[in-house]
Amino acid sequence: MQIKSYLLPIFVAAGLSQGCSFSYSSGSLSDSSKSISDSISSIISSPSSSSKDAGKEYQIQIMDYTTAYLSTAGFERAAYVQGISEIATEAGISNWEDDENTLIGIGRALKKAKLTGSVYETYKNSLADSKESRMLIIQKGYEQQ
Amino acid sequence: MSSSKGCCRADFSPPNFNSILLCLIFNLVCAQNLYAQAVNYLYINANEGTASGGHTALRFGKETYHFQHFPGGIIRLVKQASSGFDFQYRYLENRTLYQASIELDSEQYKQLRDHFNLRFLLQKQQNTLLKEVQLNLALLEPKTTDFNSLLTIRGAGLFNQNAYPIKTATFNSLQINAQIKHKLGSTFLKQKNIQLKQKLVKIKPQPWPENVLHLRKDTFIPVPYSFAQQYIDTVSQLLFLQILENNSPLNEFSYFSPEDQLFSLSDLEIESLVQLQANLIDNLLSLVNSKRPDSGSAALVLYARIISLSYSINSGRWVFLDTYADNSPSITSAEVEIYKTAFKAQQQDALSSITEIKQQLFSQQAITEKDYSHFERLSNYYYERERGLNKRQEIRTTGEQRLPSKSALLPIYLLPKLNAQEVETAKIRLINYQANLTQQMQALYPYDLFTHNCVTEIFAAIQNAQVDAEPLVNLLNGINKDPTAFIPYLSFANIAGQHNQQVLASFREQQLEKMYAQENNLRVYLREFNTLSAQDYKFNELDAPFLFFTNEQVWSRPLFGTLNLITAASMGIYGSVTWPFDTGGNLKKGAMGILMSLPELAFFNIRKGTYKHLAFPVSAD
Repeated sequence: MQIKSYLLPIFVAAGLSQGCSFSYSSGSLSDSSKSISDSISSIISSPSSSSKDAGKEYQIQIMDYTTAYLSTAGFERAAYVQGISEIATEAGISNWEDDENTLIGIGRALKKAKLTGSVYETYKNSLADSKESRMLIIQKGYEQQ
Repeated sequence: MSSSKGCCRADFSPPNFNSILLCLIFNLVCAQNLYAQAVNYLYINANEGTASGGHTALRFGKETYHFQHFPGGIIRLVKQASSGFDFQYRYLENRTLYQASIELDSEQYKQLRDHFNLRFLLQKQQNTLLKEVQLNLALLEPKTTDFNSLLTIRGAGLFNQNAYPIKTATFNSLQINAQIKHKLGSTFLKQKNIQLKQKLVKIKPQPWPENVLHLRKDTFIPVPYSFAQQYIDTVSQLLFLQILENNSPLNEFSYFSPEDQLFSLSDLEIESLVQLQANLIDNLLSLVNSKRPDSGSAALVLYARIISLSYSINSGRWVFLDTYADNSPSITSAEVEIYKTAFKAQQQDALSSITEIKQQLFSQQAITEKDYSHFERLSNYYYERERGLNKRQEIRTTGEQRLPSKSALLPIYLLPKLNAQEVETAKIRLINYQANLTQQMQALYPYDLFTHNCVTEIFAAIQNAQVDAEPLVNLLNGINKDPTAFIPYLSFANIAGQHNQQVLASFREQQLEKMYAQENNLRVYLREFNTLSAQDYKFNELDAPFLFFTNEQVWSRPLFGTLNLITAASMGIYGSVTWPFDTGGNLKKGAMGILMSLPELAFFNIRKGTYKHLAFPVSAD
């Protein structure tokens, strides 16, 4: 990796000949937002480890997205849910409302966002659609974080 | 660990304060080292195509973040699985990756990773907002091309809504359909149908809240639940009810059963699938009663999966849904023939993985939907190759998903019934939003070859993360002092000396190393130095014409470069003749070839050749 001084102008010219990697996906980032465990290369190269890690990575994705959403001024459930559905769909889960990893991820996000007391209870209730079994799992995630 | 053990071993002599203190300090140091994590700065060397000046990225374990130049003159953060990133750059694009490891403690590492991830999420959200405007405009202008591509009902394409239910012994869904309808209750479907139709009439375009229209680099904005999204969601629910009510069969192109013996099912395996199907029916009932706005699409997909499981159970062989995305890229049967060996290898690798995953699947107490999705996706990947090779058909090279999404167009009879005034007002509003948001994006994320490129943006993001870590401070100091550090190669050279380095060889480098180790060196050289006889390289449309590889040996570059230049110039001359017939394709290739050969005359190499349709490496390193 030593650079010969006489080669410097060539490096500069080459560097400037065309800039960084270009995306042809017409401005859409949808392809690049796929879950990390979603890469088929990772499944084929290591079938058993990818399935083991997938649950944990999925939880983190749900937590990251929920934490970001909780930072917004107004929380609209219908809009928030769309993002969760997108992540769950990529992970192969259709009914995420009853999926343990999703609910744990949500619980962890509520803790990460430092929600406590009645504010926490309100969010928990709303995100669990007031269902006791779901609230228990969200609580489990909250305590885990 | 062993040091720590040695220091604190059981000792029967009286305790000595100094030795305890030393032991504690030593343990603290050990613990800190234990929790140290490396964030890797990557330099991806030059090659023909995009990023011919090289590229850079930041890697946090399995996640790789890099800035890409997007149409519209903007530069944005992209997140990729590290294995996928390596496969793209090191294997398909045949580039060497140089990695400098920056050691951080676990808290600093987490802080930096979270900053990059949040930045990625908020940029993605802003992009979604812009797409939402497009979606709403398409619904208001049904004659545009966007209408066909955007206004679709996900999952509805899995069914044949115009066909009568099939009553063969294998492909029969009558029983399962009756079971679901019975569980829902006789009046439920009718009542829900009426409710949804009433709701559809009431959905009208509304102005969006002001706060979502002001984009900032550091603020995550909520995307409004827009008129078009509400409309599509409600139509999806309505279509699901109609499909269930009419017992519509699966579309014959939406499912398949692979031929390999591995895909036959034993009685025990069938029992597990019956249990999975029962769980999915419970999920479907929960979805139908859910307040989740997008429950319609999810129910369509779930119902299709329940039916495909019935087919598997009845036939004693796996029947999967086609999970490829609607717009998956494919290659012709002629290209499949050229790359037959590569596709056969991919098919074999997939079969080995399927064998392993199938074993795991049935060793569990109960199969989860997520695991089934994983298995179905891999089977799609496998079957695409089995079908393409056996039947000499085209192959979709990518696009397999974990849940099927085959969509159908929004039915014309369900289009919104708005008056001309309502349409006009909403359209003007949306066009304004679009112009305004696009302008803001261009102002926030402008691409510039010198000041806002893949290098400068990574370091700006590291600076913004404000992580209190000495290695990062030193790194930024070095970069900020170097006026040439905006060039990928030089940015790496700037920081590489201070950190551990690793070279991740490109595909061709790895292959050559193996060949030289196993065969006669002269024979390998004579075969591999040119594109005509090189074993793995196949000339493809992504590369401008060239005859000699110049990456490996510096001394021969001017000579081989001259010959490459002559090859490219000949192509250019040929292209000037064929220009009226190929819209200048050959001429462009000739010009690109000349551009790529020129640096070789001065001992410098850019072009390395690219590879198509490679099998995935067994180990990513």
